[in-house]
Amino acid sequence: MILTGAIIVFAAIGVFFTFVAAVGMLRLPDVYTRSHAATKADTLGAGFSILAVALYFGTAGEILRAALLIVFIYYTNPTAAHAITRAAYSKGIDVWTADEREGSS
Amino acid sequence: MTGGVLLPVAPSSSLEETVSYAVSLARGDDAGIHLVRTVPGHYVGDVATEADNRVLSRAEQRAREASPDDFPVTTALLGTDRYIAGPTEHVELFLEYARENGIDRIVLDPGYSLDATAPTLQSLESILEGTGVEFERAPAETGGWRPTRDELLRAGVIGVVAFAFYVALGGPTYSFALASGVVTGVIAAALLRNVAFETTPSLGPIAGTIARGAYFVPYLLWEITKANVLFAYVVLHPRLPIDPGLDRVEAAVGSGMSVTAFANSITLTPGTLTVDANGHQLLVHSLTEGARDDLVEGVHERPVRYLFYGRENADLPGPDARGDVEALVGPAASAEPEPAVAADGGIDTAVDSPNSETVDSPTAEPESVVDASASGGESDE
Repeated sequence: MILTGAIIVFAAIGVFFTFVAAVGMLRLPDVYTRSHAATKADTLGAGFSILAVALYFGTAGEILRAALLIVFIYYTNPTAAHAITRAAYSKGIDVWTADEREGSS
Repeated sequence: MTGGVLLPVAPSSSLEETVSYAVSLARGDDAGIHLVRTVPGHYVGDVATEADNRVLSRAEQRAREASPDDFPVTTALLGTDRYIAGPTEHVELFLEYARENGIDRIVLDPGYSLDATAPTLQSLESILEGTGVEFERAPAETGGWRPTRDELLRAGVIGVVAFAFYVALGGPTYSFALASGVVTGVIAAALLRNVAFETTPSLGPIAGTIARGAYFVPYLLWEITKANVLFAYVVLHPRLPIDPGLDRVEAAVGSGMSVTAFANSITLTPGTLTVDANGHQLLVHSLTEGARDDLVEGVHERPVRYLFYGRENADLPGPDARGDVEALVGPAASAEPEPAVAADGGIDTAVDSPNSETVDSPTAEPESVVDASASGGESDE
């Protein structure tokens, strides 16, 4: 019972942060700020979802594999974001600043 | 007096023969020999390790044996006052030393390697090519392929880790699967022994890092969670209260591994994102001003220094206090009395050409080598 509750809570947290990542993707103004959404919220959302999966299956093998999944997501997500923003930066894409908001409104 | 021979020293089977050859060259034009070793510092002001001094004194002893008594033999440790990462920065140090001491010839040991990295990965010769400095490879026998003790150690570690990973993922129980796992591990070890590590792993530091990791990882997870709550607040807030900025930060960490850990922990923690990394210089984008303040105060740097260098080396003034931060775009940049950046159009010009102004400057050192090699190639033709 407690286990089921924990699984539901972790899955809900995972879904919430993945939702935040999606909202961030849509609302944030440029490639750099959107990368924040992709690296932070997405990573934590995936982490909690995998945690829920690991608890649901509950065997040692599954937990080990879930832990490895989390490790690799935490390692590759920032690396991918770094690659994308670096490409954007060397292409000369402007960094959005707060001044632009005042100008546009 | 100008002239003389510069010999970069590294532990290798052909070191003694190379030293003798360099001495005979230097005697030819009656100039001295300089034995140098590059030391990637843990942090600025760090003393050279015992192993570095040992290999240097071994080379010096050999040089004294091979030469008359009054023959000038100089030894030097390079790079103790800065962070160096990658072969180009090592070569830069050699060239700088050569310039300062009026040396016009570099002799390379055929067995020379930058610690645990295979020399074939990025040959020193290809970097030195056409820099205007005369260099040659000493005609010393490397004695075929003879694995050093360090090489075997690295191969062993990789093999064990690869096999453990195979078992963890597949969980094989029958003997054929286990046997193919062993074969895979051996192949991985043979291929990656000179690629996977920057320095040969030794038990003490590794155990220390793992032990401190037990403190660092939960701390990082907590920071990530905090970052996400903050991020969720900012993103879901109706007015979207963001104030992005871009800063260049010189990280006080000195190896590829620690720079990677630093860059990734910046990316994962509150409102900051590593855009570019060059050596130990990072370009960091921050979503809010509070995130930027954390960054320049060294909130990210200290845990990483703790992880790799231990508690006693963790406390260092933040990048801002050290003057290692340069604001490029955003609130901090506009606040500075620099008209080009403060004006509205100025921000655009500063950002419009990151290729010429912002990206190039941190790469200036390595690129000067590349440029020199390009022009040198032309003059050869």
